[in-house]
Amino acid sequence: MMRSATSVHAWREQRANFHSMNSDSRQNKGANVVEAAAKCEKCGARLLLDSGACARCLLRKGLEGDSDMSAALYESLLAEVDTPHQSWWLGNYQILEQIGCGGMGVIYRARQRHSQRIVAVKRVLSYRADSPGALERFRREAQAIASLDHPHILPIYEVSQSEDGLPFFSMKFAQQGSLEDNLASFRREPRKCAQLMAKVGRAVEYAHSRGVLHRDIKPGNILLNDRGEPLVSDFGLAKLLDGYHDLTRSLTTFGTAGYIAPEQAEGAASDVTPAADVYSLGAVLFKLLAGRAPFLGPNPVSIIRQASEAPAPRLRSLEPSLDRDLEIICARCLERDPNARYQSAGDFAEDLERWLDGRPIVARPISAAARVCRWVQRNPRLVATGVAGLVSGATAVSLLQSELFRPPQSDQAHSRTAALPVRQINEIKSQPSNPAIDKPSHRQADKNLHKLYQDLFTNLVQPTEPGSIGVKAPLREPFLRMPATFKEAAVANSNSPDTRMQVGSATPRPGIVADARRDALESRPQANKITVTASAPSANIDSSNSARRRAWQTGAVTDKAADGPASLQGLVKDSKGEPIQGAVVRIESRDGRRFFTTVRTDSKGRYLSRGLQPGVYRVTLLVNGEVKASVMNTQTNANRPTDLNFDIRRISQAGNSARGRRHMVWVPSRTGSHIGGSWVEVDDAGAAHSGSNIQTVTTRNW
Amino acid sequence: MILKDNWLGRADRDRGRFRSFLLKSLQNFLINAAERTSARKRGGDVEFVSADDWTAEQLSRLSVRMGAFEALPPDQLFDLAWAATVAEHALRRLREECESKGKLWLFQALSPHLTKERDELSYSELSARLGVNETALRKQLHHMRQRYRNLLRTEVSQTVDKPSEVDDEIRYLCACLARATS
Repeated sequence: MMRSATSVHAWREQRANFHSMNSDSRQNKGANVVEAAAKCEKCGARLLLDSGACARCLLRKGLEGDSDMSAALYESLLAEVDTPHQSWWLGNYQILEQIGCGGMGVIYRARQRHSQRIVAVKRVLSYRADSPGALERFRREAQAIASLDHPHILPIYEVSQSEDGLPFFSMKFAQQGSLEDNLASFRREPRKCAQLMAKVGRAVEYAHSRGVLHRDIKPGNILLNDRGEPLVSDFGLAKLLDGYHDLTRSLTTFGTAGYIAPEQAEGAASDVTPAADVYSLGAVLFKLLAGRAPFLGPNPVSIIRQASEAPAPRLRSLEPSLDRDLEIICARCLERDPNARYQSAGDFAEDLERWLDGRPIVARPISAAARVCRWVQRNPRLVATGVAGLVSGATAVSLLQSELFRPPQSDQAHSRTAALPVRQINEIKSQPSNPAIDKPSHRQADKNLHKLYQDLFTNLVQPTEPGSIGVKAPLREPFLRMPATFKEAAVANSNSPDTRMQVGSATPRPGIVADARRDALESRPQANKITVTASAPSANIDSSNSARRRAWQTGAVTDKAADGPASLQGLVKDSKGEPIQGAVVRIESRDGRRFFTTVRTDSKGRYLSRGLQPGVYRVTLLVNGEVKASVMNTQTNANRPTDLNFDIRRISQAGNSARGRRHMVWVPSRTGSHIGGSWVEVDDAGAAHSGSNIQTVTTRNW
Repeated sequence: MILKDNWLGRADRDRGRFRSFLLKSLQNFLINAAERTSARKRGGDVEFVSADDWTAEQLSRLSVRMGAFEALPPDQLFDLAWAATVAEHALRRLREECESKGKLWLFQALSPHLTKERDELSYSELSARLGVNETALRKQLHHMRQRYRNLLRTEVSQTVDKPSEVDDEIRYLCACLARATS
């Protein structure tokens, strides 16, 4: 292809950039291409791979012959040749057989040279050894285990290096294999499951106390020794809590879907806390008791997504015969909010031990009557000596308790709390914890707050005419005084600090009031509103010319010359207009089935995703792991950034911001169970404009 | 960078060869990098992605003739690295398959001879060194070659649109390597 003099010049410049950018890697890091005088004996090419093989000759092999050899066939053919007498040794270990193969290493059963004892030897996979982080992670695993000495943590014997320079270590050989291999023996044995997991919980607690997070607890990583005692193994993903050893790159998910905590799957490595291991412990217990993991799906991404978006299924919905306390213990571990889980693996183990002893569990303080029943179970002799007195006493206690500690009516409590503005909730949440509050009720309060947050972000919607300006959620009893039009309502309540009705320049369709009232009655009172502002700079000649020019510079002008990367950017703010840091913005396909990328907001609430393929996406906002909004049909264009801002606000604020500035307002509508709507641009005068590049918004379990 | 943006997820199988996609992406990346550099001069908000991160994703290391390095344009250099990566990736998968069956020793003994012709190799010497029957060794080397061919073609097929393009792509990569050595 011909290039103009200018573009040739530009091309040279780019090439110079490429060379200067790579100069460091060439000199210091072992770049991809290095200079050497080595030469292939066969073809004379001076293009040798690290292993000494000639790349050209190897590639030519791909053109020779036409017979196919599947992996299975090859493996069977490999088995035909016996390992020669000089058996394979790794250091002082004679390799006997391969017993496992993980993401990072391969594990062999081996015999130690002098002691003749059977051990397990783990070495890094040769293929993985090339990845820069793999060796370091492998070493870290050895370091992590070596620092742990606990009867239920698999001990390490020796760390060494094989002749080819790859590290390996030897450890205790677990006779009975992994828990995964022994699941059947735990089915319908809840006590056995609880005993096992209590021990595992104690081991994990110990690891945490030594500053090691496991991050990949699953049945395959819990081994059983010859007596069936659990041994926690595979600290391959372990993170040392000192903060300097974490090689896990941000936004890269490690761990096993189905067992890792949602925040571990979504977030940066620095967000992962001991609560993530508590989640995994709960998932393993769930699997033991129910016979399946809490979340199932066709692929890991779908499982992880379910775990972050939906609550875990109730244990007894799968195994109704199980004790309710076990269900509560599992549910407590599998909370999506890390703060709502057990505070430590030790707490989890303790609750299981309490359950095993017949004592009340901490996760759910039991009623007085149930407490008496349990006491009776634990003390049958005493019961025999004073049955009548005890029973009457128990009844009295039960009545007294139920009278004194009767919780407030749930509806009342709910409407009272739901009416709180977000600011107040924030204040409540930020208050230092009161040491006088006992642990369980404190946790319960936390849980309530969490629930309250969820409720606050749940929007009640009603249909409006297409193209009209959005009318937002009613609260509590507003419809009893429902005026004729929404506009009047807005005016009537405009002076009230407690305004429930918002905006509205359009008269609703006939019937809308009834619909809205029914919705209000059927739904719980709810308060919040997310305003999304969206804009994409209109196409202008300059930008497309620029795209074409750049395409020329690359020497790759085609019919799609203007096709370049698109980008998406914006701000995420809370009710006070403060930026939300660490909110996750997920960019997915429109049907939500494919997941492209995730970005997090920085300290100023900004996010930016560059290099998108131009097209239409679904953009989902998650704050603290909760889905807050999902914007369908976000159009991105080549070589131009698309702005998509999320403003989480109270209704009144949302309305004002919509009117005051040229913003997008959501016009909600409901189709069956699907809550959707459309976005309309509003100018300073409150008039609607079209031309938005966002058509609908869905809300999922706000 | 690749993991961060799920950049590979944007590759569209129907739109051409994966290698071309990568090359174009690299070119776009360089252009963007240049723009970012100039934006920074103006005090713009800059997100700079290190080229080291990008190269770290590559698997293979390739030796080229002295002097050829500077003379090659970057896109040819890219093709070279690509060709080497494909060849080596297949080799490593073969190694893994052998290792998983406890036959790493066999791979280590036979893989240097994968590209050799029959008359270039002394089976008897090899057989004596390994303590394995010569006939069995011949068979194993033959199987290993076949399996390597299969793995290589599988590697390549993942980067082209249609299976029928595999041969063309391999020839193209061979030609790239030949050009670099000429």
